[in-house]
Amino acid sequence: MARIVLHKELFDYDTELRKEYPVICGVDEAGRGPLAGDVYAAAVVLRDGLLIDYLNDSKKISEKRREELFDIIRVNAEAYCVATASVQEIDSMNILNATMLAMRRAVEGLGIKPDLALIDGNRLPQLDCESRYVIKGDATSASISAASVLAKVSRDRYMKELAEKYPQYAFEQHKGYGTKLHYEKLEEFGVSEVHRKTFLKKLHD
Amino acid sequence: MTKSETGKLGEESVCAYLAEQGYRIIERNYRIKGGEIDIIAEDGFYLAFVEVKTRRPDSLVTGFEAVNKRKRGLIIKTAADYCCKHPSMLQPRFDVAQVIIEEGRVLSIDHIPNAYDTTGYNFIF
Repeated sequence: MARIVLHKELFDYDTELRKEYPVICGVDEAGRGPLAGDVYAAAVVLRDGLLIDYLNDSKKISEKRREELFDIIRVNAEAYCVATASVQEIDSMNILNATMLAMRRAVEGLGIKPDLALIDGNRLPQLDCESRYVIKGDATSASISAASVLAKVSRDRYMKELAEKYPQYAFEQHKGYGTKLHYEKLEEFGVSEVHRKTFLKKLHD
Repeated sequence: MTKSETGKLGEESVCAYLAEQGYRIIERNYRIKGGEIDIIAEDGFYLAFVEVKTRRPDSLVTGFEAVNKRKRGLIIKTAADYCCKHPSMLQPRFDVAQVIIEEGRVLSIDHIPNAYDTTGYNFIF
């Protein structure tokens, strides 16, 4: 099996768009599905001509490689921002709206105004700039892929902190997702303040 | 980027790749009169003699095809020389790695372990 080092097509996709929109930012989220913890979003602006090895579909990057890319992206990005929406916000406005809020915060936190925001998925947050959604964006656009790495690594680190703070739930094992183990722990220890109450209806019934 | 610089970059990236896969790099560019081996590396019970071929994305001939019968003969001869001078219990193995490079950037690394053997060549290891 050949190992692809540089996924040039992801960078070519962005380069093509920069002809019309000189400053584009990629946006992606992490942690939409789990039963616990904040939802994370990241926005990244990459300079034209910058190529980053191993940047790819986020599901195809190993955890170790993601950690390396995290630093490389932060050093080389023109601008980047990682933002969150809290568990309380998720419970009060639902996860979709909270995710959109986190994405908006990430774009607003960039410090520069992009000409175009590329959003991973099939929904658009409300932004002050033009935006476009890209289905399977992290496997299509280098900027979105970079954003997905920042969002994912940031959330993984946050979940590690939660695991230390709430050792009884074994967050380090299930990352907050609704696994059998997680539900067993919830039965045993009850719901904590970092759990998304609206995600736990099944437990109360 | 000159041809030799490109080749050097290809060999560097294969070395890094193999090291990452747990290989121990023993020798680089082992030369004798009439033969050269790009990389000699230890992989468990194997001693891998790796030929690195660097290509552009639009190349008509793959790196694997470029290691033809004559080239394989030269590598086997050089490997036999190496094994005489460095006796070991490891099983020799012949690998080929192809690196695609465009404008000084490594696009991909493809490594085929045990790409060929000494069948048809008069060397005994």
